[in-house]
Amino acid sequence: MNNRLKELRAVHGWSQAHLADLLEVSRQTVNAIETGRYDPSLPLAFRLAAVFDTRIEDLFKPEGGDLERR
Amino acid sequence: MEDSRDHDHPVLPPEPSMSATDRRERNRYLRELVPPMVVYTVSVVAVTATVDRGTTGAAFWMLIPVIPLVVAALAVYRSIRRADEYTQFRQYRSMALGFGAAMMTAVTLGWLSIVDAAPPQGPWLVFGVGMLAWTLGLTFEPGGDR
Repeated sequence: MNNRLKELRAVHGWSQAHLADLLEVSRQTVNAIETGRYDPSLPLAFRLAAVFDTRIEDLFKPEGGDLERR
Repeated sequence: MEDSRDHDHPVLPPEPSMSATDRRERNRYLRELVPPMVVYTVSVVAVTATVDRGTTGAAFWMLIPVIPLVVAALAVYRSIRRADEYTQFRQYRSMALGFGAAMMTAVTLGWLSIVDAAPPQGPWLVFGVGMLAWTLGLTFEPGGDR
């Protein structure tokens, strides 16, 4: 799953640690989501969208393989 | 008020290694884990130094260190319960690795014991391999901290 976390974080001037505090998660969690190593649950994705005041679909974009049936 | 930041060329701020949430959780975890581990260490030293291994009550005294170990295990459990979803995911994955490694070691020692070739400290080997695999699973994360 691709995402715009890093881009939006930079626009807001937030460090990963600051975003982690806003979300009440660890900095490693923000890093893992940002680098595409971990796809967040829906509740966390909604929280992410809320702190950036955007929609989930504007934050995350599926890659080709993500939409294939497993 | 208009946002004066350059949206075309945003600059990321310097990255601290831990967030305030991380520090708070680490401190709480250490507050819960360190006391039972200190008691465990003291009790291990005490019982191994004082218990007469030939007596009938030796087994009872050798089980004393298990009590603080249970408290320490509860501290780990509570820490994982409090953790966010990704931290829990990493912990469970690493614990599964540790469990698998411990099981494989136990089975291997079991087969060796049939022909009396198992080392006498087999249970400690099972524990050590399991803990090592758990730790390595947490340390060497696939993809790493980029």
